[in-house]
Amino acid sequence: MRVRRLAAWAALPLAVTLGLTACGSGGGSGGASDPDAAVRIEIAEPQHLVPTNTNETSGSQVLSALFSPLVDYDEANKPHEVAAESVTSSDNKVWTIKLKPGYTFHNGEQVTADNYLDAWNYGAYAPNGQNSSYFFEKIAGYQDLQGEKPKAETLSGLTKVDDLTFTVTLTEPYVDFKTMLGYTAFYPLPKAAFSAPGVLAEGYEQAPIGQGPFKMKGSWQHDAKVEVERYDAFPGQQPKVGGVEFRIYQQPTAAYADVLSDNLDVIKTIPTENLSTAATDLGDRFQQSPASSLQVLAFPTFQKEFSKPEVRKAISMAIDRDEITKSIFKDSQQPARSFVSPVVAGYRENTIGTAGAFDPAKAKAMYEAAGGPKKIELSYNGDGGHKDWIDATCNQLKANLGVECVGNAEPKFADLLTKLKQKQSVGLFRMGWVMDYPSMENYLGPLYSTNGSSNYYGYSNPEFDKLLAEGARAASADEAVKKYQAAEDLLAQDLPVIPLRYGQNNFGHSTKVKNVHVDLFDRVDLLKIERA
Amino acid sequence: MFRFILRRLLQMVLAFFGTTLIVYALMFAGQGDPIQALAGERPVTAAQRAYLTEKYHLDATGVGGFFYRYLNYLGGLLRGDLGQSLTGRQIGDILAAAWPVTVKLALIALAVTVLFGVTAGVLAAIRRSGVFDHATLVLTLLVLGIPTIVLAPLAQYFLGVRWPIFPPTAGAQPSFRALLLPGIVLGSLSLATALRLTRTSVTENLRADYVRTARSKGLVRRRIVGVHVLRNSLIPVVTFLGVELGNLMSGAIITEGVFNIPGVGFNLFRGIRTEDGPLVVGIVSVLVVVYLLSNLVVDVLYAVLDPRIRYE
Repeated sequence: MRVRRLAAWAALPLAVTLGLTACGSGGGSGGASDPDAAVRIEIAEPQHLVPTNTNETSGSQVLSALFSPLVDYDEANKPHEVAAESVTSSDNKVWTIKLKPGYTFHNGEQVTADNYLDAWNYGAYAPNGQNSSYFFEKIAGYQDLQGEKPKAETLSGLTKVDDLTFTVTLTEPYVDFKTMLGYTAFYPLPKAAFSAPGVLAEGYEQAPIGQGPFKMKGSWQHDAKVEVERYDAFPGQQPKVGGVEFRIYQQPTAAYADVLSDNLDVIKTIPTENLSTAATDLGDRFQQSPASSLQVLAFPTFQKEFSKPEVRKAISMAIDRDEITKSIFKDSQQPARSFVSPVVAGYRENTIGTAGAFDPAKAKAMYEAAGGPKKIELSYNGDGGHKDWIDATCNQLKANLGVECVGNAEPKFADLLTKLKQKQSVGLFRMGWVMDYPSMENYLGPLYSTNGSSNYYGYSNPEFDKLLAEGARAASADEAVKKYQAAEDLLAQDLPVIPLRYGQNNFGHSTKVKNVHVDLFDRVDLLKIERA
Repeated sequence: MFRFILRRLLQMVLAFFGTTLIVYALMFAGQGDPIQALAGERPVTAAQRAYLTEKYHLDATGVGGFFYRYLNYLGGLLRGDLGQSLTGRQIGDILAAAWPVTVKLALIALAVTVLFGVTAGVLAAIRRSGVFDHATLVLTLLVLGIPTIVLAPLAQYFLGVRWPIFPPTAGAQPSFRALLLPGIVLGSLSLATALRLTRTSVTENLRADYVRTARSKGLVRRRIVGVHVLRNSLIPVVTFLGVELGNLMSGAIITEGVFNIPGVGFNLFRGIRTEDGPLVVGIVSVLVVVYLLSNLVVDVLYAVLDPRIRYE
């Protein structure tokens, strides 16, 4: 009797909890057979949902539903017009962009040239602090919008011709400008997005209005989901699903468990720990597609012990890339022997030549002859799952070069960069690169030019800088590629970094969807996906 | 009693501001480059860096800079403004979204602990050295030996994916059923401790003089155990549960991650990872209040359980 009363007393908090949760339980997902029902796609919490402020994959995945780009990329990753009727230039300096008629924003506004001009001016204006503002730096007048008190509020290089036409004048001719236009930063913004000219309306980001195939359903529910539904007045290719629920996950392992039990339709990146079982878990619903990422080991070339190219080449030859991609990455990445990814035009296989061939005996002789350091440190960020391959690489260097080698984990990549900027000794360090738009220049300029935004290794080669500049000014894409390839050959001689692996999208989907494609930007193609 | 509670509440205010100072100082001292931490591996442009530095006063360094930023924060706090996280979201909004789900989760875990831990502890003590006692000993040792980081994914795989008894993840607005599995996983560790504590305490009291007296008076065994022994045995258990409630809320980082529950633990983890000082200070300060309050409740419960305890 007494024990029972105790149990009743103990059950009280449980009952309270039941009452609390009862109001929280939501409705279930839609019926499986309905082709118009929403599909559920995994993302992480986006940092921002304003086109010029979004530069990570989760945000750009959501924006790809809400907006339609000026150009998109075909199978060969060449740009073709989507929302633009034509993008033309006779000298690669003044570009004329004609818009297709009939596009409307989700609030009914007609899309005009002004919408593009407003959005780009907003993005380039430094006091707005937009993450992707550097995409506009090639446009004339960009410098006048920089600094704390900019001289101008609008880019002088943007001129409206008529409602559906505008011209873009660049400071220098740039052959790949059309390719750039496929990036998230170049979407238009409706008048409704601004509370005053140049001032973004508060709350726009919570429910962005775009001109794309889907419109917002409700607003952005932070840490939970973003829901979109089909926009019927969209004049372009209509999607095959009624809507998309972008469900926010903190950990990919949780999303993977949900895909296994059909609680989620698409996981864009299967976590490494599940890769070995993914093929048996999902069967042909586990898929791979090329991605643009490139993983490298970089040398602090400003340090004396790594200043000799022979030392760098010997270290490269002592690493067995194939073995590491196979045993550590289970073929979820591919061995790399070039400085640009296979996904861009102008890629050539094995540009680093003999430096990419695994040859321990030759490597050791070369290393000793060049007087390489007795002790090597490999620095990496401890939060990115890099420990395994760094340790494996270290073991190979130990065995093949007869040196001491230790892996050095910095808590975050930011900590590693802080040390590099202060020119502290970190030894070799890992770096990854994901392209902004499919062009060789995007793999070379930021990483290896003397003033490149991500040149952390102190590499500087005037000849290389000159070739890149010539490539950008080239008359045609083919000529540009030739210059870029010549520049890449210089890198192969100097080897400021060792290319190690190309990334791949390793994605999976539930039994409820089909035709799942993940593009080079790690985005699910929302126009192709269908309900099964 | 009333004066005791009032005094404790006043102490709480002091403790609250003391904690914000300490946590703010720790975050300040440990700060590397929050702008780059937010961007991950992407390069940060000079314009973006200048913008965020000015917005969050990141250039205020050294002792002077610390007090400038702390007083700034405190000023906002007194106006009820917890500030903005580095992504521009209001921290007040983040906390408002995160707390309800974490509280639900912690209450389920606590209910599991009390319901199974205390009951099984009493049973094990009554039938000391019996089969049940030995079985629970082995089981609790096993549970105590498995860290949550292993237990949570295992439970998710077997009870969520392999045999779909529970949904594998809970999400932001979870149903009670979806929270049950993470609740059990979260509560299992404190369940084991509560069970061991109850068992030891009850065993000890069963041998006490007053129990012998009660028995010789001819009282029914049920009444002896249910009223006299249990009441006297619960003091260590209640102490433990009081502290545990705070632990369950702050310590759910792994469980919330595995079951995709965007609660306090997750936001704390994210705040630390992105060096988001104001976010971490906001969460920790509220956690301190939870700890202080639950300890106050424990102290009041002492007096309820043992009439000899009086507060002046």
